[in-house]
Amino acid sequence: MRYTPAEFMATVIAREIGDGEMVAVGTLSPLPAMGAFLARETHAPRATIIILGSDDWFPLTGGSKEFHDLGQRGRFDLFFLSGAQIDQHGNINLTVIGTHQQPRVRLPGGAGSAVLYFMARRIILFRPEHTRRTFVPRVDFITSPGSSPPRIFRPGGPSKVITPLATLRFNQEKRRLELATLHPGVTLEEVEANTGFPLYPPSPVPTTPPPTPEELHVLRTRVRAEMERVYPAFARTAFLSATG
Amino acid sequence: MRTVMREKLCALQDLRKWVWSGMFLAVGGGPLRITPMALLREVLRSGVRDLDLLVTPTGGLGVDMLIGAGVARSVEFAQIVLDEFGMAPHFRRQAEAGRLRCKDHTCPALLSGLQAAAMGIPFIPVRGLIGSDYLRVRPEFKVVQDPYSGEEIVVVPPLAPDLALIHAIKGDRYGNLLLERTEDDQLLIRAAKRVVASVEELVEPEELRRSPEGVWVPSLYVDAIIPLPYGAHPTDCRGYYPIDEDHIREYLEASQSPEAFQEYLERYVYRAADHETYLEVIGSKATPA
Repeated sequence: MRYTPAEFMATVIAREIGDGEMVAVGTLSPLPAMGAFLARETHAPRATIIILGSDDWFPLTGGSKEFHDLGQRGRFDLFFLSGAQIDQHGNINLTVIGTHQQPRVRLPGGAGSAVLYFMARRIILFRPEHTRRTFVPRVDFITSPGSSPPRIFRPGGPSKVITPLATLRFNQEKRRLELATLHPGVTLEEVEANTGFPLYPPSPVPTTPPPTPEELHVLRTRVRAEMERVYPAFARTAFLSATG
Repeated sequence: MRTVMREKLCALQDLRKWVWSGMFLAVGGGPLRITPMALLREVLRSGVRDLDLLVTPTGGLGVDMLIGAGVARSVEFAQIVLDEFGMAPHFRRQAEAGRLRCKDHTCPALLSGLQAAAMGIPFIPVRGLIGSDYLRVRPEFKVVQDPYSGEEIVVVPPLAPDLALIHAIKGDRYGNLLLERTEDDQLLIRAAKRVVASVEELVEPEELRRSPEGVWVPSLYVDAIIPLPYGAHPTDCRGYYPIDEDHIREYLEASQSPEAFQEYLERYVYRAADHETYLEVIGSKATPA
């Protein structure tokens, strides 16, 4: 069975979504939206999906303020973030590479991550590349920390990291990211070579279950139609044909 | 009792009465959505500089153009990006050169700062943030003790810009407005000291009251209203026109060298001395969606 990296990652994301959950998707997050649409079309028809700034998936009238009010109240069961850098402690960097005053690379900025990473019940970090450039021992700038001391009010935090090579999970006790599953055809050595910190792999390492024919069919028909409306540019390369 | 309302219709050039060098200027709309681009081009023509810019809470083309034209000394934002067109080129370049002071904020906290200004209160608590480097680069964000629970919490100061520029879908001659519901322009309007709004469509007060969709803003918040069809171009104005993708690509192309960007500004801002001339320059692109 052939599939694109986007189809694979969207499937992995979809399986993280429970029926009836409130799932919030930020701007510039077509992959999580694709996963959320797939979940709603399969096992989670009662999930509520809110996509920030979208015409059709944004039922709020109070701008992004109302969205972030919901987030700060802890109403989101699941939210998605990414990071130009992600480190072993789950810290994410969306701000600068180098120093803040004169960065080597100025990034767009953290948007809502410094609050939502604390307040959404679970956060999935998604990253369409798995390299040592992204997975660093220590981020240059902590846009949002992966964990907080017990005295800080923090009902939520990272649950998983999904990349084109593997799934990492956040070990709450040790406060670090660890390898959870390898995607089909990917070796442990390959992931270790592309990760800048120890992965503490389970033995043996389970394989991420690939998309089923049913999931791929739904992706390439109903999800594709929705993605073409909401994220037309992304949809052009995200799918194989419905018969492929 | 009948309220007598003052008419607030202005011409684009009147904007110069409301702007000055060194002011704290907020730009409404989103990265590529309903940004007051025609007003921003007039800000450039006015010659003001050393602006402290604010976007609420994310920005894109509008502030990037001001930064590229060299009139900004700082920008306060939660994110600046040209959405699926990628990085905002001038924001990135000038930040990396150390020529632009970047006041990074986070969306909920920035919006809460506007909320505090709108409420007239001196600070507002925000969840999260503790343990992040925002607290290092934004010393005005303070960790305090919640007087009720005793827990640590961050407080941020109010954000009250000297002037907010926004583009509304519709408005009437008194300055009543109808806004896009997905953006935070209503909150910005409540927080700002002065508000100048361009409107896509000037309508009779009766028609404005009957409009079914959009967020209503009463004229008491609005100092001046300027009818400017296509006033958000090349960003979008939902129901009227989409993002002009060709123009965004032209902007990105021109942003690759200072000479090319100067030529872009000459063509679309300085030589196009008013909005009518701008519409002639962009020509057939200015057609409704």
